[in-house]
Amino acid sequence: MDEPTCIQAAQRGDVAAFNQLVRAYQAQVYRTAYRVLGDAAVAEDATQDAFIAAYKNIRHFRGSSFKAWLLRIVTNRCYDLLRAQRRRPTASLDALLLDPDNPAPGLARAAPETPHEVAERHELGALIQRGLETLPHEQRITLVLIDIEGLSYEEAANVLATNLGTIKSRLSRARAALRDFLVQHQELVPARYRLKSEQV
Amino acid sequence: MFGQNHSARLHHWTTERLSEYLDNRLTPHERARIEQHLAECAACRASLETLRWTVALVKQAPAPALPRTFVLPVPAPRAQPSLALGLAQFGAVLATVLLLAVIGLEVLIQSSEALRAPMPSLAYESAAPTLEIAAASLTPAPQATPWREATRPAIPTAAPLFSPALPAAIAVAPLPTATPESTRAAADQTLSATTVPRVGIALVATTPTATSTPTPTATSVPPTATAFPSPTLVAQVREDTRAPQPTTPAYAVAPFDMNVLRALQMILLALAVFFSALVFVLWRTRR
Repeated sequence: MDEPTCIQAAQRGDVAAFNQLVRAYQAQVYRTAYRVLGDAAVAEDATQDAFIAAYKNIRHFRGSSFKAWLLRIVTNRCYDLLRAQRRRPTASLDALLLDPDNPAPGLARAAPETPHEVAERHELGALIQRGLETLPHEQRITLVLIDIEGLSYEEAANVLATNLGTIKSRLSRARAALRDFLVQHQELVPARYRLKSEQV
Repeated sequence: MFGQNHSARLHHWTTERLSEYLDNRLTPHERARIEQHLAECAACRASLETLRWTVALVKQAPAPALPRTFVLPVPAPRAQPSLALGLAQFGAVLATVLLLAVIGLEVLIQSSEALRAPMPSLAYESAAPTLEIAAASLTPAPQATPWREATRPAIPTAAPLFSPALPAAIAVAPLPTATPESTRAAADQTLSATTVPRVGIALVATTPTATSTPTPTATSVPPTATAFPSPTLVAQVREDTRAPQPTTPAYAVAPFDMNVLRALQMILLALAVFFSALVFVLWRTRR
């Protein structure tokens, strides 16, 4: 069943058809939530909430991009959780990421790598996550959507319900801020990922 | 001075657009302008390099593994509405409604009778039935008139309301010297034995002449028989002489037998209870 057919069936209340859409997008939705929120358990809750909300509201979906619509739901949920986290700050993320014996559980293995390379990748992931945490929410979500999830500027504008100029501006500032963070923590960047240029 | 300001504005303009330059989102004119500045500005070249490095690092960050699937639970197919349960519910409601209707009818009858009888307790004590079979008593038959001519047409017709044994008893035990009083007493006894309401049917047999034709059985007296001067059955209500109001409005037929009403109530009550219990059992078994 192709995506439009699944959407139409789900709009008629077909849970099985909706679950096909869930299987198609759950990795991306969870990844986005994880990158934005920085916590596996909270990201899991956000993803679950997003899919439940999507099922309840799929009758109102009239857009052209189901992915964008789904990502908008999960990013809105992330905004809510981030605002709640701001009110009740926790140290769990820092403790998790700074623990060298527990490098970001839940991070997937990519291509066959040596254990050392795997460890380095996990270190890099943890460091980037820390850098993302330093960004304002809007910039963080924009960078996650475009640089990590590979959305185009237009798609990101659609997801975040804003204009293209705002997206460009947010992305530019987010990249610059993350660049400054990484340069500042160059010693924490695994050796093979370090900047070779001496201009820094 | 002008050159420094222009260079600073270009430097700022370039810094703002390095991100878009990386993504190749600029117009050819903008792109040419940035590349011209990059050739002259080492800081902007360094900035571009670190920005490119940052974007590359972010893309290399390992993706988190999916902790679990997020598919929604598919609800079990809903149970079909049970026909038996629906019928039981309908039966319970119908029986209850009918029961209430019958109770209401009884109350209505009793209240209307109470209006007609100002002293119901006294009437019951003193008078017993207020109506009776007005048989030959209305027209006292001469002695020569056989009692059967006077009574027979009346009693069998009235029998369904009263005791069925009465006509037979009278038929097999003829009382040639029956007086109107004895017939009346028999009718009173019958009435009092069956709690007939005080409004009833009085059948008056207009006694024919003395030359009557005897009939073999008590039940075979067709009112329209030509060979027989059949007694005309006149249904009339005769107020009892002991009743306090002799001019009470008359009814052609008795509305209901109270025993029938009460039996109906019992049956409907039993049906309502039965169907309610059935609804409960079926509802529990569906759970």
